Amino acid sequence: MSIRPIHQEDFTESSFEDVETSFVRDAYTKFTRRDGKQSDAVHPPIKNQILPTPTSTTSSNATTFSSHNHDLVVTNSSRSDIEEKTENDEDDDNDFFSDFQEFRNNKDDFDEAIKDKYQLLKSIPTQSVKPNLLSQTFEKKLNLGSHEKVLRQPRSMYELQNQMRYRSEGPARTTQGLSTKLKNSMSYSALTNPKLNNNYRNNNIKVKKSMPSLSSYSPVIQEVNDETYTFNDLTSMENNSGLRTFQDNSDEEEEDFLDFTPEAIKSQFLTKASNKSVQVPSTQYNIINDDHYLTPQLRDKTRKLNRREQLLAFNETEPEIQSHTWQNKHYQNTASKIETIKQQIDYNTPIKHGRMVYNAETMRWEGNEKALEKFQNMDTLSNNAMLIKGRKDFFDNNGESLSGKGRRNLQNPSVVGKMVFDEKNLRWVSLHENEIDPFEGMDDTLPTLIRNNRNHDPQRTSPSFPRSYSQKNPAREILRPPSQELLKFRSMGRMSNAYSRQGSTLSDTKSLFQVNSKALEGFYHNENKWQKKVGGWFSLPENGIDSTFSDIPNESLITSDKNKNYMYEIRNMVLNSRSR
Amino acid sequence: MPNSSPADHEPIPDVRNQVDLQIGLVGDAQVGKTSLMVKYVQNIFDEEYTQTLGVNFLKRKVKLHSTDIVFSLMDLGGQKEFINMLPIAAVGSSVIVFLFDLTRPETLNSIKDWYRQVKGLNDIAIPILVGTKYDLLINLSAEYQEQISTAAIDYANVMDAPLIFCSTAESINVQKIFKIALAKIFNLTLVVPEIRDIGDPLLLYKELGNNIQKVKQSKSPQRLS
Repeated sequence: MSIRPIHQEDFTESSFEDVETSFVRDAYTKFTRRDGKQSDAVHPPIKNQILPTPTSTTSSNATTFSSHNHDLVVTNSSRSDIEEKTENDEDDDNDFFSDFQEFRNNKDDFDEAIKDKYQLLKSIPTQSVKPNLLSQTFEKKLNLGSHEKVLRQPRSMYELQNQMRYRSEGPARTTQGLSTKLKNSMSYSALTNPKLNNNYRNNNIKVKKSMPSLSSYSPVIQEVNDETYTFNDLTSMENNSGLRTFQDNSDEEEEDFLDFTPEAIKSQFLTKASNKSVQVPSTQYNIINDDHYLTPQLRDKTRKLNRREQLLAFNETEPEIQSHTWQNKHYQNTASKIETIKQQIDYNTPIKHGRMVYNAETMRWEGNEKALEKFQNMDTLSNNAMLIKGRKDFFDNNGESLSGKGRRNLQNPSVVGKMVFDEKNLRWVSLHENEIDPFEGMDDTLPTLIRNNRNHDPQRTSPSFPRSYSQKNPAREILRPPSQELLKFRSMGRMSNAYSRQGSTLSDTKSLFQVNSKALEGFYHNENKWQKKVGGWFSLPENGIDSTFSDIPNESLITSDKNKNYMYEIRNMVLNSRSR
Repeated sequence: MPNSSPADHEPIPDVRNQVDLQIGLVGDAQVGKTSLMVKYVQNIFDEEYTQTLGVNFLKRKVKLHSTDIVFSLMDLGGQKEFINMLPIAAVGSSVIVFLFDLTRPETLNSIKDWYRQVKGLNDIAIPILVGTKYDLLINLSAEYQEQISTAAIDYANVMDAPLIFCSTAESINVQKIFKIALAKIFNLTLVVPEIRDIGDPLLLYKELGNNIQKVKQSKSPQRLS
C-alpha cells in the first residue's frame, strides 16, 4: 500500500461536511513525516498547517471515506520509513494496480480516494472560473464583515462554539493551535480569522484552483478556503524554482496539467452540489492568467518548452528510492535474466508464415499491403519535410551546456564529441581553445597544376608540384618532356599500358601532355603499385640510369619465365638483408 | 493471448493463478527496444548500445493477490537481418509495442512497414506506439517537437494504437506502457491521466486501442486534440 506524498492541493475539501473530531493528530504527524523531505523543500511555510482530508462522518457507506478507510490510513501512515522500504513484492504490485479502477475497490486506498476526489474538484473550475473576479468577489465579501454569517451560518451549536473560540484566540494563535482547530474546519477558521485572510489578499490571488464545495452549504466560503490553501502552495513552488514542481511519485503529480475524464472518477463523488457549482459564466474566464492551472485545452500554446530539470515532474520513480537496494532486490526477485534467441536459420532462407512470405532478397515480409492503405490519407513525414533543429534557448545560456559534457552528446545536438558547432560561421570548432593546429605553418596554396596548367608547358608547371620531386621515381618523370631515359621504363608492367594509351605517339609532344586527370590518377596508382613491387630493386643514381640498367639487355628478359636471372637478384637481396 | 493455469504446487497451500502475457517490441535499430525492456524488468538503464543479435527475451512477474501476471517481453533486433525472426516476437503476442526514436523521424516513417508486417503475422495483437528518447527530444526546436508529435498522433490514430512518449533514461512513462498494455488486454479502466500537451511526454490511450475490429471499419480516423 502506498501513501503518496502530501500535496497541498489535495486538501482543499475539508469543510464540506462536519468532520470527525476524533481524527488522531498523531496519525497526521506520522503521515507528514513520511514525505517530510518533499514537504520541507516545497512548502516550508505551511507545512504544519496541512491536514489530510479527515474522514467524513456523514458520508455514505458507498464512498471510500468510510471509517474503515480512515483506520487504514492511520495504520499505513504510522509505518516508519524502514518498514516502508521492506515492503514485499506484493505491496509494490498493488501499487502497480492502483491505477486500474477495477482493482481500486479491493485496495481500499484512502489516498487514491482523495486523489479521485481532488481530480473531480479540480477539473471543473479550471475550465470555468475567472480568478480575478472571484478573488474580487471574495475580497468584497470579506470586507462586508457582518455578512459573513449570512454566507455561512453555523449549522449546529457545536460549530458555533468553535467559531467563538477561534475569534477569542485572535492573532496570538500559534501554528500549532491553528492546526489543532483546523481539523474541524479549515475554511471556517480561515474565514473567521481576518489576519489570516489578509495574508491571502496580499498575495493577489488570481487563480481559482478547485471546484466550489461539494457540500450544499456555503459554496462561496468553500471557494475562499480552497484558494487560501492552494495558492500558498503555488507561490511557495514558484519562489523555490519557478518551475512546475511535482512530486516524484508519478501519476498523481501529473494531474496538474493533464486532461481529465470524468468517467475515471467514481460516481459517488459526483454529488448534486458539485454539479451546481459549475455554473459560472464563461465571461469570467481569463485563461492565460496562470498557465499552471489551465487545462490542456485552454493552455496557451506559446508556453515554454520543457527543460531538462522539469523532466523530474514526469519521473515514475523516486531517484532516492531507486538507489535503495530493496527495490533492486525486488526487481531481481520478479525479473528474469535476459536471454537471446539467436538466428536458427540463415536469413537468406525464404519463409512462409500464414499469408506472409519472407523475401530474403529484400529482407522483409511481403503481404498485407492493405495495412499500408490506411496510412495513405495521412500527412506523412515524407510529405512534410522535418528539419531537426536544436532549441535556440539552449544557446542563450550555453555556458553550461557547451562546456559540460552531457549524458549523451545528443543532449546538446550542437556538441558532438569535443567539437561544437559555430552557428555564425557555420563550422565546427573545438571545445578546447588551445587546440593544436597540425597544419600550422603549411602553405595554403594547393597545387593547381593539373587543371589550370594543362595546356601550358609542363616543364614550367612541374616545380609547383612538390611530390614529383619527393621521390626518385622514374614514373614521376612523365610530366617532364619525354626523354630517351624515360622510354626505357615505359614498358614496365601495367604502367606502360596506361602510359602508352595516352602517349602512343611519344614523338608527338602535344599529344603527350594532353592527359586528363583521370589518366593521371591512373598513373599514380600504377606508379605506387610498381613502386611497392620493384621500387627497392633498383637504385637510380642522380646522374643517370644508364649505368644501372646497362647490363639488362632487354626488358622482356626480366619478366620472362625462362630467364631466371632476376631470381638470383632476389636471392642476393635476401642474403644481404640477413647478413645485416 | 492470455491463458491462465494453476501454478505448480508449492509448500504454501495457496493456489496461485498465473496469467502469461507475451508482448513483442519492434522498431528500427537503436530506437531503444532493449533498453526499454531492461528498464522495465530490471530497472537498469545502460547508456552503452548493445546490438540485439536475434530476439531478446525477458520475463517479469507482477503479483496481484492470488494471481501472478507474467509479462514475457520479446525484443526483436532492429537490423534487417533479424527480421526473418519477426514471427517469434509477433506471433502469440497480445500486444505489440512499436517503437520509434523521437529524435529520428525516419524511424517513425518505418513504423508503417513494421505495422504492415506485424499485422500480417498477427492481426489480433493490440498495437501500442511508443516514441522513445523523450529526454533528448526536449532539446530540439519547438517546431520539430510539434511536427513529430503531430505526426505520431496521426500514426497512432491510423493504427488505433495508444501513443506514449517515454524516456528510459529518465524513467518517464515506462511503467505506464505496460499498464496500458494490461488495461487494453483485459479491457480494464486505467485512471492514469492522459498527457495531451505537445511538448510534454504524450500519453494518449483512452480513445485508442479499445477495439481492434473498429480499426478495420473506420475509414477516416480523425486526429486527436
